[in-house]
Amino acid sequence: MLPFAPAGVDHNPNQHSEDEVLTALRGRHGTRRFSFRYDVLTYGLVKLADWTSVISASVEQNWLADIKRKARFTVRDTGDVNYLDSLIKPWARLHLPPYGDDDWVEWSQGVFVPSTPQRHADPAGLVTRDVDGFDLLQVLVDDCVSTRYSVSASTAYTSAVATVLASAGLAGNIHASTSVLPVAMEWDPGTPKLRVINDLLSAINYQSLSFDEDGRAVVAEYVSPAARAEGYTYADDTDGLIIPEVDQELDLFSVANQWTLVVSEPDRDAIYASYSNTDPSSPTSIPRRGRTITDFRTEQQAVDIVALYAKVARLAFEASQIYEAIDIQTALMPVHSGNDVLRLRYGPLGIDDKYSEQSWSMGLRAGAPMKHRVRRVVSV
Amino acid sequence: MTSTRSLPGTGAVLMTGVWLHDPDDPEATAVNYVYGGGKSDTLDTMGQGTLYAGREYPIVDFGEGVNAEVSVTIQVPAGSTWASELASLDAIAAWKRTVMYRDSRGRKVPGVVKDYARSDQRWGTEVTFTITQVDFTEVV
Repeated sequence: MLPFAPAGVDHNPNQHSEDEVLTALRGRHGTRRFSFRYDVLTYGLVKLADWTSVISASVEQNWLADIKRKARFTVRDTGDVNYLDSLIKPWARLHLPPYGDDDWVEWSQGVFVPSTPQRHADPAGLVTRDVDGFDLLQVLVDDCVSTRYSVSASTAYTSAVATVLASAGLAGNIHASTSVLPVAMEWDPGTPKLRVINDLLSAINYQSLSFDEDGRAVVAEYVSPAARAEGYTYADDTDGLIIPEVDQELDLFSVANQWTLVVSEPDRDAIYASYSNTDPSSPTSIPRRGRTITDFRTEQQAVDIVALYAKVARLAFEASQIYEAIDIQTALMPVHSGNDVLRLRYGPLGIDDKYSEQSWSMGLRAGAPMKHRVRRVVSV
Repeated sequence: MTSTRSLPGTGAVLMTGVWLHDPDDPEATAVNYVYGGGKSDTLDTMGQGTLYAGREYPIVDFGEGVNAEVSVTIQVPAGSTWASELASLDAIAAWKRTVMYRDSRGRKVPGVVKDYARSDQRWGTEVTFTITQVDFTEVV
């Protein structure tokens, strides 16, 4: 989740407190007031101009996708943006009592690479464009290594990641790791730089690369949702913001209860790591089901057996999360980031648990509903 | 476009009927329709109300926009000015630009003409239309 009360006067001019912001977000006085604005940035993340020709916009986040955040803008075609060398940064602004000129807080909704869009002319002669936007991961999908790319043994993994990021003109917040490559790693010409980075991150059990709402790359250790604090609670109570139509999915049929990962590389001995769910309290465990369903994966990357065990445990944990998914719609809450951890309480379905957010989407419009898909965090 | 600032002055403008003009050139374009049959206005703050689980009443979200309209009826009596008044109204209706609406009750609304309609009467022609306010910055 983003900070409820942004620091600094640029995005919280009257320094409203977290309590004040939460009171307004929860509509405790019966109303909420939003406005939206759009910055045009250079690739160096420097603001060029306000983009004032936006008619409507929407943003969506999917933590499991390669390109995690996307947007769509419908704009009047005024020629004020060069789609080839600009970035778009939408902002959602919440106005707060006493509703003076500086009584607001605002949150960035991401930094987007705009597509070169089609133009439409309506019967009245109004020319518009539907501009799709992709977060900065798109830069690393499009930018491929032109020759065989190798990272030599003994290089720190996170240093190698920083080097690839810099080669694409990107910077980030990198939580450095002391792990170093045991042997050299190589990638074929034409491999997207995102693949190179995610291979490196995967080997040290870091989360796949993402970008924050200000367009900075996030390179950080994977932390399971169970070990993270809940960022917000959605409940059907007097502060509730859940639209009362909730869908719950429960599919236990194909959930594996044994996972095996194999690292098999030419210059080193093969490493195996296996994890079995033998917990009698787990409905999908081997003793409870009376059979074994194996998820066997080869061609894995891991620095050593310890990292491979951590990886297989993570795989087992994540695989179990498909077992309960909930789709809810809430009021517009422009404070979500990626992979947030939430508590959800909903009486009619007997739900009261901690969930990680797989995806969300919303229109940047006052009164628009926000769709969320969350998965339940279950220990197998 | 040039603009100048002047010292504020006080005064009152007394108008009869309905006035319509180009906001950028009022002196040359203002037309007065003396027989305003009726005027009314509406303001919609376009709030979106939603009832959330656990609450008894909805929460209403507001954006920046409001929708303001003036509904106007103008009577154009038969006589020597009938044709010219109707022609001027027809022209404004087809203008596709911002028009400044002013009337005897002090309304001053920059807007566009919508739902323009004429109906024949025994005494002449009745014209009805709506002025939908637009985002307009007046330069003095």
